[in-house]
Amino acid sequence: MSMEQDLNPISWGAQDRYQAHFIVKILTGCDSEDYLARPTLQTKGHFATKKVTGINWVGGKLADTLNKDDTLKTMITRLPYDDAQIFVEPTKGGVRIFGRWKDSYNFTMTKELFAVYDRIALVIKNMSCPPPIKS
Amino acid sequence: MLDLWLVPLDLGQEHCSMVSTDIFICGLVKLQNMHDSESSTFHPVNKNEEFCESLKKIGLDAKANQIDSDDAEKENYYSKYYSHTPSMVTNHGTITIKGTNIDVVQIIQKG
Repeated sequence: MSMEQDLNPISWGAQDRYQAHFIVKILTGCDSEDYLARPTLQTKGHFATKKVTGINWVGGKLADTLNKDDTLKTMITRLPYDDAQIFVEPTKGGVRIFGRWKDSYNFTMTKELFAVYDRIALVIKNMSCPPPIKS
Repeated sequence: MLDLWLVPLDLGQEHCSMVSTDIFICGLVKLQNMHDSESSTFHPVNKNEEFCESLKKIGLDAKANQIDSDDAEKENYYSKYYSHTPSMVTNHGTITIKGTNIDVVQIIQKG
């Protein structure tokens, strides 16, 4: 009986890749397509010098609302390229905001990045429960 | 304690009026009480507690929760609208944040 070694081993099991999901719990319609959004980034430079110069959100109604927020766009252009890739996905447990997978060494949070997530969360809450109209 | 030996090498005096001697220095370093700077024991920290500390460092009021204590951990973690969602993930628990628009943070590991 011959024992052959797999020449192209695929990694399995838990990997050194982590993700932090920032969840906004809204009352109804958490999993609606309206809360889907992800940015299309315009960039300048390559590799380590790559910077974000512009951003356009693509998705549901949330994406349309985020595109009108110029302050948020400015905040995102100041982030490093890796942090600027943000995903907003609706699930039954809440609307989740998260970025790319990071290894344990880089798995931290910065004030600037949290401020972006917090602002997106505010837009989500305002969408789900619009402020009362003053008569 | 450092032991040094000085070994002189005689190069001869054929071409030079000045005599120079190279000295080969070899030594054996003996350090008493040699020990590591790191402790041999460590306190294992959960990933959500570790991330909670990084949130506290940026001035947030964050608290790590016990695993499987939040409803968000019981549902699907992704919407399945995008194809990049991984098929298998490991839940590392949640963190509650106060004073922000974020209700809870969940830590997930790939695989």
